[in-house]
Amino acid sequence: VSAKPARIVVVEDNEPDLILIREALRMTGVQCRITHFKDGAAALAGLERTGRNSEPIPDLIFLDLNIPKVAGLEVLASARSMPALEKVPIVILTSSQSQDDRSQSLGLGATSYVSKPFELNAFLIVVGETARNLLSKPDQAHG
Amino acid sequence: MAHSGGSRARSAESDQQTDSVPVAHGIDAIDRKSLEQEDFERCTELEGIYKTAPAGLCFVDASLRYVRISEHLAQMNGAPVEAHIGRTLREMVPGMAEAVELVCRDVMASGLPVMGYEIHGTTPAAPDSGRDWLASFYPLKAADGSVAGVTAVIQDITERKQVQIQIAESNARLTSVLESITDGFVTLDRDWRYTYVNAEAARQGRSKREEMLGKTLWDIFPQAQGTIFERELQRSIAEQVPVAFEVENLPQNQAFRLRAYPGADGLSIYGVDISGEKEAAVARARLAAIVESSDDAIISKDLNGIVTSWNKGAEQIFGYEAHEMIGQPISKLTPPERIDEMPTILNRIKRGDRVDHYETVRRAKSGRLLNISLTVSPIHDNTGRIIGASKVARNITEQKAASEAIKQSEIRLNLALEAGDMGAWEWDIGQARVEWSPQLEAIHGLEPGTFGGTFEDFQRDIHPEDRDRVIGAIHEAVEKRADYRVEYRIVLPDGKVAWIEARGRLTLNGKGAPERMVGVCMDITDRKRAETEFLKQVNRVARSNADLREFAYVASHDLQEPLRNISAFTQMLAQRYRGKFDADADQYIKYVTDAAARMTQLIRDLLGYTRLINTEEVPFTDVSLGEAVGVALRDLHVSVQGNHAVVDVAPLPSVPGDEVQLAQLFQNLIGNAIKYRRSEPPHILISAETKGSEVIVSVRDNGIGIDGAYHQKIFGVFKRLHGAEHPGTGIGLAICKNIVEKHGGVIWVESTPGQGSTFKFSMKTGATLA
Repeated sequence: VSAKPARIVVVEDNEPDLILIREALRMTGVQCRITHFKDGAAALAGLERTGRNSEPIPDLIFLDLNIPKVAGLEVLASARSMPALEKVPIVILTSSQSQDDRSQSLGLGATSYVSKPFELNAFLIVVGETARNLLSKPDQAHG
Repeated sequence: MAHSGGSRARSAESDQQTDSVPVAHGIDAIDRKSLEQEDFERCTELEGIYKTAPAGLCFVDASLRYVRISEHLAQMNGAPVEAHIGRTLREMVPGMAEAVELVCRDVMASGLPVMGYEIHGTTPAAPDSGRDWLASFYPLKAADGSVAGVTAVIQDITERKQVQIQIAESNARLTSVLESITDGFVTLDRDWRYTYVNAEAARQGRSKREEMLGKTLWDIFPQAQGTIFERELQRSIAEQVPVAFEVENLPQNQAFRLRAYPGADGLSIYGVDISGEKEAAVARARLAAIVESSDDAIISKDLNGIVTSWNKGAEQIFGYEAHEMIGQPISKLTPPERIDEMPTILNRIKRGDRVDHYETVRRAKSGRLLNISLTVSPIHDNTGRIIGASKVARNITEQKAASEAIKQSEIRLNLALEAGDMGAWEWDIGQARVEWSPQLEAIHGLEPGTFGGTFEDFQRDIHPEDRDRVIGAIHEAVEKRADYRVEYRIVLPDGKVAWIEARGRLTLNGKGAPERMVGVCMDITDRKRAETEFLKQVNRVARSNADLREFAYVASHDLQEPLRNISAFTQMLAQRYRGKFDADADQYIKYVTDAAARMTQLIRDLLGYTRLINTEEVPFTDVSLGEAVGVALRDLHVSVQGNHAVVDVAPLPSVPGDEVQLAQLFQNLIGNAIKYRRSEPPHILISAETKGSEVIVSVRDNGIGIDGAYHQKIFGVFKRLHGAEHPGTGIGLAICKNIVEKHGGVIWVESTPGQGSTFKFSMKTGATLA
């Protein structure tokens, strides 16, 4: 883990979950700066800008599937089509337990798929560890 | 004058040596020693012979004059001996002279005798009747070898000849008699060979006479061997007695009455062809049998109405036996109110008329009145005189009843047709005619009797969209010789549409070709409406069920997210802020976290349940129930160990099913058995019993048991019998029930509180339902 904080994008419409993600990253000791988008449209617009006009490329993206305006899978597909985000790890973090969502996500290039654990401690550990693992191996994307 | 050259030639050659020499020698002796005593004695002897021999003897000289003649011959000739001497043959017997002179000259010329020569002629003794002589002539030679005269020995065979002729004539007459008779006559020799066959016998033998002659009886009638025919003929020969017998059943239905007479030479057989007689007898017997076996009463009566015959049919119909009726007046059968029919019928019979199928009423012995159909015909004698009547009476009481029954059943049919909104129809395929009952016309909105009666008329009312289908169904029924059944719409005269269900059955003619179709049409408009309504209802229910399932799934799914946050943040509060508020606050936070946990479990279970009932059915595979139990126990091992539970598993069969669901089924049941334990360690026995195509699986425990009042309720969603002491959401058994039902089985519980429970479920065994 470098001293330079990791740039993490969180696409999440649920405010409490954003807090839990922050808490998970803090607990795991990941130094990061979080950019938050609360719907799919905002996420796409923000991600479009990365890599241009000195807008930095994120080190990790947490993407919820069930989000307003533009669906998470669509955001995923668009992100993967952007050259700047080609190799950025994207973790689908969702409350969906559907096998379809899982396989579709991985098919569209998601790096990992995490069902939001129900237990608080489980949530904090799974999300935090996932982030730390992916950030310590910068070339993990599209492994 | 008849004489036979043939006879003469034969005699001259064969008898020359033996007969002529001694006689010639005798004559020579007389001639040589005529002057001696011996000669004299010889002459005396000769005189004696000539005088007394009962034979005609004479000696004529070379000029054919009588030198000597016996007394007998002189008488034959009709003149005294003295009158003949010195006279010529021609002078004495002119009616014989020509033939005799001829022979004598022959004999003198040849010096050879002529023997056994027959001469026919007349004599002066019997000038009106011809005489037949049998004569032999011997030459008398002189010392120089010349022939001096002829000695003749003559026998009058006229009478014998006559007898012969008579015999021949008699034979001829007999033959012509035998030929002309209509009976067969044959004679057989000792070897059974035909020696005589008359014309009729040849006909009887089905052979030509010339072919039969020389053949044996058995050549002509081989099938008669070994039968009475042969036995009787053998007996006739053996015992030398005439026999008489009949043979039947010869080929071509021949039958003969035979008489055989044995004779020295064989048999004479006289045969009468009785085939016709037999046939007539058979016909008579057959007729009698028909009369006897007839169900109809066949009665004959004389012109006074007195019964003369009474068959079994009459006994059965009227109840009187033959002996009770014969000799009785037929009017015994007539009920009083019908008594005047009798003279009328008898008068018609006397006129020679016949009474045909006259329906009337007669009284049986029992007093019961019978409906009778009478046919009465006159009986004629040989001369054509009417001497009585034959009467055939048929009991039509039942027939009447039957026709009444048919009428009744038609009424019932009509009632049924009307009650069922049905109409009957009949389609004559050959005649291309369609008949409709009034009810069917009513269904089509037609006035009775106004249906046109053609196939086109029938088609016209069918809804245009259904017409081709109906015609197709009819053609298919006719082609496949199958029943016809179709539902279609018709358009009524007022433009309304009615639904019809038509059913028909094809009848075939004797050659198997479709002849007609008969059927009914039902107005099913109401039923169709109800069906449509019902289908709509079913669809609504199905849709709403699907909606409900979808709702339950989505609801429980969408409830998760806020609940997870409630749960997470109350946990945060509990973990990070304990003791920072007051004691009450800590207690309240605990209530919230407990409630959140409980709701989480409920939603998770509900989600599992709705996911289960929403699952599209996966194809069943062969699942080993033993392995399913194994999977369940692996997931439960913490609980099993923690509770010190003992789980015994008997051998279990395989069933077609969903492996995941069956494992969950066992997991829920075993889990419950452990959860609802008493203080002693749980003991669970899992076993199975196969019954026919079903297996019944039991999961028995030694737990707290279930009150009978709840045996049904526990399988409902969220039905819990217990409080916090036994944690659970009450959805486990609902899931079990759903899984069992998806596998075509049922689940139930047998339990007494305090004595454990046995959960049982059935499953279909057998082949995988792939």
